[in-house]
Amino acid sequence: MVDRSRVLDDPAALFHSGALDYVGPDAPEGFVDDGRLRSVEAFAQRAEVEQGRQRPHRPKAGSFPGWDALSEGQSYDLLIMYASLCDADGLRTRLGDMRFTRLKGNALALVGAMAQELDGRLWIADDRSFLCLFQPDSLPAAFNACLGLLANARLCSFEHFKLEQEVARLSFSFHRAPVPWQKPGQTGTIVSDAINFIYHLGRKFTPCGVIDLVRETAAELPERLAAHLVDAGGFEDKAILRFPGFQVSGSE
Amino acid sequence: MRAKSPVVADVIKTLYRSLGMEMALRMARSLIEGYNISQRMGFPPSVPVPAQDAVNRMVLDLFEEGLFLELVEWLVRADRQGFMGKRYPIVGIEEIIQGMELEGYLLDPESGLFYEDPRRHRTPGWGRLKPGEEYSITLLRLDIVLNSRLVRGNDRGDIERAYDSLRDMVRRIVEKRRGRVWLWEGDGGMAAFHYGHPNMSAVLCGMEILNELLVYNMTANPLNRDMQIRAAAHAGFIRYTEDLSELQRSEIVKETVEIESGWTRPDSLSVSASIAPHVDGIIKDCLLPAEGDCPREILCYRIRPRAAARPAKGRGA
Repeated sequence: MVDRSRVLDDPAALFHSGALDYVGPDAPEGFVDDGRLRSVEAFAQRAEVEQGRQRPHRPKAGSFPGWDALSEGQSYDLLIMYASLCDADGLRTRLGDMRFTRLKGNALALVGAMAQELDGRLWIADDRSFLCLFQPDSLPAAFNACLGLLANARLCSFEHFKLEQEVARLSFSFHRAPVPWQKPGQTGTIVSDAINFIYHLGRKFTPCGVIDLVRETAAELPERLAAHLVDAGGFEDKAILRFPGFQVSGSE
Repeated sequence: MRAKSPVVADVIKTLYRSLGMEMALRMARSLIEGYNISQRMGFPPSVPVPAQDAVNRMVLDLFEEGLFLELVEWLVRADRQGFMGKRYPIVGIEEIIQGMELEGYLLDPESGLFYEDPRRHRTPGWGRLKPGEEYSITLLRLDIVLNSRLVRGNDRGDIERAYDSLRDMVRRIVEKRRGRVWLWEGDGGMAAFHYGHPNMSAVLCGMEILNELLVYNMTANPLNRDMQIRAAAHAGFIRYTEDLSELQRSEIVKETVEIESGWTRPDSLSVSASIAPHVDGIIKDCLLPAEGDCPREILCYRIRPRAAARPAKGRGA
C-alpha cells in the first residue's frame, strides 16, 4: 500500500484485510528497496502459515442462513453425518425385539442430543442408523463429539443402554456436499447423490467403531485432529480418511 | 429444615394413622435407644399418654435430635420392605418424599437414604455425613503425571487453562454419579462416593475421566505434551470429618494414595481388590490384572487410540 498523499484515515485497518506493508507520505525516497521487499515477503509467508494453522479451509462465518431460513427443495452446502448402530441384526437377535427397540430409542436420543448441542438437525432415522445435518463449518465440533461417543462406548452401553453382556458400538461417516433441503419427517421423496453416497459409505464401507470422512471434507479438520486419520482407500471414486477408533484394555 | 415445615406436619399426621402408637414407639426406640414417651411428656408410667400428642412429641423429639431424615428413611423402608417381616403401608409416603425434595433432599433409590439435592447444595458430606461417625466410602484418587515438568515447560496461562479444564471435567463426571470432589490440589485430587452404587460409580468415573482426557489431549490440550493421569479406586470405612487434613491422614486415603502412586501406570485406572467383586459384566471385561509384582490384587483399565497414528510430542511448541 502506497499512500503518499495520506488519503487513508485508518491504514492499520487494511492490514486486517490482508495488506502486507504501508508506505506513507513521511517515508523517505528509496524507502522501498530490496531489503524492504524481502521483509514484506517474509511477513506474507508468516501470515499464510499462521492462517493455515489456525483455520484450515474454514468457510467464512455467516455463510449458513440458519435452519429456519432454508427453502424446501433448494440445495444447500451442508455437513452430513451418518451414524450407524453396529451389528444391528445381531443385537436384535441377542437382545430380543423389546430390548432392541429400547436400545435403538436410547441411541436415537444420544445422537439427537449431540445434533441439538451442535445446532444440527437429526434428519432421518431408520431401524439401525441416523442421518444428521450440520452447518457446513461444523466438522471439528462434530468430529470431537463423535470421538467422545466412541471413547465412551462401553460406559454408554452399560449406563444408558443398560447392556450387561456386550458393548453396543456406533460408527460414523462424514461428507460435506449440497443437500436438497426438506424438513425432518418430509424427506421421503428426496433424490440426492450426496445422501445416496453417505448411506452407501456408512452401510457398505465404514466398519464398526470408526469415523470415516471424505478426504475433501476432512481437509476442514485442524491439523492436530487430521494427524489421527489414516488412509482408508477409495469408495465410489472418493478418497476416504479414517479415524480407526479406540482400543480399551481387555478388548481386541 | 424447619420444625414447622409442611413435611414435618405430614409425617406427624401419617405416623399415627399408618403405624399406631405401639409401632411408632418401636420406631422411635430404634432411633433413640431407650426412648421413653411417658418420661419425655412428664406422665407417670401408669397413666396412658394421649396417642395423638405422643406421636406429635416423638416426631419433634427426633427432629430436635437431628434424626428427622432417619425417621423418614425408616418410614420409606417400612412401606417398601416392611419391618420384621411385615409390611406397613404408609399413607401419603410419596407426598412425604416430594415434601423432602422441596426441603432439598433426594431419596437415593439404591440405599433408601436421603442426600442433599445437588442442584441446591453440594457439600462434601452430601448434607448427611456427621463428623465423628464412621461410613463406608469409596475413593477415587487422581494424580497428574510429571506435573512439575508440565508446569516448567509451558506458559502459565496455558497450564491454568488445561488444569481448570481437567478439574471441571472431573467435577462434572463425579457429581453426575452422586460423588463429591473432596480434595483438589495443583496436581490432582480425590473424589468420594457413598450413595447409589459407590464402588461401581467410582470405577465408571475413573474410566470416563481417562476417556475424556484422551479426547481432550487429541483435540483441545494447549500444552506442549499430553496431560496424563494415574487414577486409583479403593473402598473402606472412614471416620468422617470436615477437616480435610485429618481426612488425608485416614488409613483408607493412605491406601488409595499408595495404590495410585505405587502400582498404577500413567494413563491407567487401578481398581483395588475391595472394589473388584462389585464390578459387573462389560465393565469388568475391560479390567486386566496389573502388570509386574503387585502384592495387591489390582485390576487395571487403559484406553488408547487404535492405530499408532498419534502425533508426536510437541505440537509445534
